[in-house]
Amino acid sequence: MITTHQNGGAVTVLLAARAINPLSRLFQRELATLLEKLESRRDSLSAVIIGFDPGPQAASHELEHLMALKPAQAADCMHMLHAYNGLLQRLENLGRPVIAALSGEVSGHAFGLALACHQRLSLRDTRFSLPQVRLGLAPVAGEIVRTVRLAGLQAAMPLLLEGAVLEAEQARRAGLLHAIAANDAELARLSAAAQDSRQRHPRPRDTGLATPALRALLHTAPARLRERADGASPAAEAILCAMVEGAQVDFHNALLIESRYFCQTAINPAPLKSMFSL
Amino acid sequence: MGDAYIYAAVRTPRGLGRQEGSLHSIKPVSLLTGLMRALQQRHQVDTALIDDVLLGCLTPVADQGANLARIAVLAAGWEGRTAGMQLNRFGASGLEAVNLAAQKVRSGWDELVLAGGVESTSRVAAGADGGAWSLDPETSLRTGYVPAATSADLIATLEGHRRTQLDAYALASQQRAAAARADGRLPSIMPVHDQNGVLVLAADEGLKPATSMATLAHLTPLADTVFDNVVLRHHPQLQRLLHLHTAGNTARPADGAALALVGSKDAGARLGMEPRARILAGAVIGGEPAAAARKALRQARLSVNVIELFEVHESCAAVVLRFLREMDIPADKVNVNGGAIALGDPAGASGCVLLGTLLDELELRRARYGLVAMEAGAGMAAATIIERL
Repeated sequence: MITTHQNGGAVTVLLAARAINPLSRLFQRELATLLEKLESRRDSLSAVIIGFDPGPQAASHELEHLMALKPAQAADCMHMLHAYNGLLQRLENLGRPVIAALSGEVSGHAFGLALACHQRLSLRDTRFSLPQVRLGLAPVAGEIVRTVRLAGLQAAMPLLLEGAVLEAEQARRAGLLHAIAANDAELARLSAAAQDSRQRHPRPRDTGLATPALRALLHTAPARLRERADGASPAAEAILCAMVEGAQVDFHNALLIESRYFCQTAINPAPLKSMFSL
Repeated sequence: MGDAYIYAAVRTPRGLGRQEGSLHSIKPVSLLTGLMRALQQRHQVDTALIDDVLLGCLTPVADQGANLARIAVLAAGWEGRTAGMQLNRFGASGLEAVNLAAQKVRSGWDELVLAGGVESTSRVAAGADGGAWSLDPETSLRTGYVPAATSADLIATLEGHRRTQLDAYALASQQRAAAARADGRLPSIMPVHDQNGVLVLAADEGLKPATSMATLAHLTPLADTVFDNVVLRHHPQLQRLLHLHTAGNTARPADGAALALVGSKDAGARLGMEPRARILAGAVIGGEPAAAARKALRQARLSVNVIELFEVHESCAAVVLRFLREMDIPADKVNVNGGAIALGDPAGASGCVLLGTLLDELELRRARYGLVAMEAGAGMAAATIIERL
């Protein structure tokens, strides 16, 4: 599910998008093996370029694991997510530029993994989404935390609360994408040029919740959510909670809060609504 | 006039009051609702009988703002007819809430009141609520404002304390806290869980059982010397201010909540609960903890000699040592399970934490009278006397 190619000083990593699953021990082992390889070669490495292979059908990535989550398994689920978040942080702390070179549909946990890269570059027709809310689940593995920190609470709302699909240009304007390439050759060139940039996990774009604009947003956000969902939407509500609570604490505590809300939605999955057809 | 009784007293464990603390990711309202539900379940309390919730909080802004007491009632899913009020008696807020609850019950105007406090120091830092005392120059100049660390050093300097005396007291606090934990003598702690039932924290966090006089001696003083001149101007008899308090012999910031269910005899009958203690007196005063204790003793018509156990808030070591001297009481009656120096100080909750700790120990020893005394900011103090039943 993970293949690597040496490309000069850079290593190109291709991941099967459908195999990316924070709650899969198999995927965690594969990712850990990749990280060990990258860390051991750090000195000779100039950059890591990550791409995704969409595979035959791109939709139902994580449901098999999640449908089975029982309340008594919440603690295990938290451990698994903690371990997975630790792997993504090893990627962030590699000490070499990690660049996601993206194309096609970048969705769910593949997008989540890309968000943990230092740079995200894509072709113009690339589309980005976190569709979990439509499955009655909260995004996890830093997907909420990083999106809110990169884009800000307001800009992250359509993506997280509605499962909206963002075009590359929209993603770039939201701060989720660094640059757009016209074709594969330019994407490769941009990836090479991006190799000097380094950055740890994103810092909050919203500094606290004290600004009048943010207060006004938060004041009405729960009511707007209910209005839009025409009643209770447990996943969207859990996501909003994770977004706002996570914005008020440090990155690591934000991940903890996000994981708890994910478990909450996975233990109590909302009945899939017909309006949320995939 | 009827008596006021304590029917239940519970608290969360105290988390480190820092970002690394286990309770940092738990919102203050969730600390409260979790504890309220735990209290309800432990004692099968019919919460519809609770008239009011009084909640101490030192820094009632942001996460802790806008009358968290009433909001917690609603968030806990309790009956809407239970009212709620937040109050601020600085560091004695949690004790003030209990005293006020007792006053309400003794007056007969309320039957059953839930009192206590909450503070998530890691989320809302002390001072986040601003205020004229420290931030308005005119008021600061007129009142001779100094921060708590300077005030602690003033007490120690006036008392003639040596650093080793203060450190020895801090060491005793650590040792007593460690012994209490080793013996499992903390029945009132209700573990904190997340919304999925996963355990977040079961016991007080950040005890340092390896503390020694040597480790304490290494710590540097906390006080900002810029305030020395303010103190010396107000106390011309002093040549200089000694800087004797460190992070090791001063209360450690903490996150946590505590609640006590206070009611009349009739309310207990309706609840089907036996009272654990009677609240004999509750005092507040502009002055030191000993003054508040004396005021409470007068109210209760008791001599200090009949008090078998004391909880004196360890805001700093000098305050406790001064209390011992002022009241002329033996050290082995005071803070027998350690205090805020070892266990942490969730400011708004601490008074209620002390009350619950005292009641547990009175029951364990089958002792009768206990007294809580604590200082509060800006030169205030509060005290409570209870009689175990």
